[in-house]
Amino acid sequence: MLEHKDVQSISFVGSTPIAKYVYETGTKNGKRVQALGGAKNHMLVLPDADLDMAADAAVSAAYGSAGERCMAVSVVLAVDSVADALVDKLKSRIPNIKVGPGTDPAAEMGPLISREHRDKVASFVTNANAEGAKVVVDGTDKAKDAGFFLNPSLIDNVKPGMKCYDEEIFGPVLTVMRVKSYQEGLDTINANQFGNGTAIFTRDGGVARQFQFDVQVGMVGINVPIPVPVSYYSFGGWKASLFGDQHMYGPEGINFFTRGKVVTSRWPDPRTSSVNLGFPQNR
Amino acid sequence: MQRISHWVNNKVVAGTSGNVGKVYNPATGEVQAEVDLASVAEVDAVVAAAKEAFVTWRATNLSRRAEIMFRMRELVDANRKELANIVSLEHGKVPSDAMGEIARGLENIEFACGIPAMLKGGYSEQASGGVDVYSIRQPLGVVAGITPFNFPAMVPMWMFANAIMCGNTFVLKPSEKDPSAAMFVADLLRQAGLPEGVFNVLHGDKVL
Repeated sequence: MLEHKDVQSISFVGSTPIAKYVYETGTKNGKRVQALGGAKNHMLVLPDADLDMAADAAVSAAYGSAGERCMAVSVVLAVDSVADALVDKLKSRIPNIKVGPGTDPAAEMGPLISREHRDKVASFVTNANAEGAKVVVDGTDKAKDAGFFLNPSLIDNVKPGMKCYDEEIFGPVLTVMRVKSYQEGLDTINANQFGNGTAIFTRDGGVARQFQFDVQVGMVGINVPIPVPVSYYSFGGWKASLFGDQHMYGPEGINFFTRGKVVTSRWPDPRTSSVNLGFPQNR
Repeated sequence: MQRISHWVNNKVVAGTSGNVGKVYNPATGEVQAEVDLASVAEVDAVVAAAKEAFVTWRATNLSRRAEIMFRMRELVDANRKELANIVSLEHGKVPSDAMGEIARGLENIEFACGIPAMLKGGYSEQASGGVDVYSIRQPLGVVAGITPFNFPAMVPMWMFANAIMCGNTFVLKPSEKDPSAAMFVADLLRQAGLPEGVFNVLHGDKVL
């Protein structure tokens, strides 16, 4: 499909290595390509935020759909002065999450897509302590089920360089990285290879506005953990989260799926016609 | 064992490659269906069907296109629960979560209903003496979408709603891990009155 001469464009959503391959192969074959890849979405929680609201939002956005969302929150950046309190609040919410099959009306979180993926997600948790992080809640006990389930996991004290921070986990694993300040939080987000989504939780409108101005991410939530744009805006990340020039759906989607054509027209009186080899001018 | 096949020219078309993939029920770990995986020859056939359909589809009135998408909007709305159950059974996410993805996908169908206004061009009268200049936007032709397992209903809607309303014809390759939602949506588009060959689904793995 990427090489077929009669396919004019490719729209792709998937992981970053495949998105890059699709973009390179498609464009090499003359196609228009929008290829959306992976993410590592950070949620920055400032000391003035309502911590219960922030904890509710982080837990919902991390474990909903078992974390298999490219807009899931996977890293909470907790400013030091509130980090212990926030981790306690996150931890206290996890036992209440009902994990089960979709056929159980009470279930809030289902299984992962495949056995291989479940095992890969579990390995991030299993290896985290050895990397120097601190597993606060270990959900891998569920990995013994015949279904592809995991319980929610929470890992504290993660840092760049650890696998559970550097890679997209795409499962029900929330990590917490402690930062000294707003600035360190912002710098962390901007240093990340991905730039899909991010969120800031604060009661300070001025700081939130500065965050919106400075952050190098395509979709930003202000007290909104999963800022998927409404359909009349367009969806897309920055950096390794998107290969191509147009974001998906909305006005950019219309641009992507059409080509512009400009027509210059006149209906002159033939009697005014003459030969003129100069380049056409308009004045 | 349930067999999931391709969708070409508004019909289910059995695969000819001989290759099949397993579709699991992730909540039990059991295989619940098999899906046909297309060969390169089958790609050629579906692209040819879409290319043929493009000739008349791109010439179809904007009002007529919008009318079909309005009907699609009603059909998706009326079938939310059934589609959510299909998503839940193959992906594993709980039905209430699947309802959320359908609601967000529906927004994209609703946006595409406004296509006549969005395809308006610009016009400059008297750019030079007796000369007018104007811009129009035209469809690309056959366009393809490759979508992930995590939103088997919503992400295709992100793509096909605008793509076909702009006058393109579409070939979707959904994730082979949860391919049934795309087939259900394809049949809704047929019910909405979309002509043959405008929206097609081809299942496959990395060969495609």
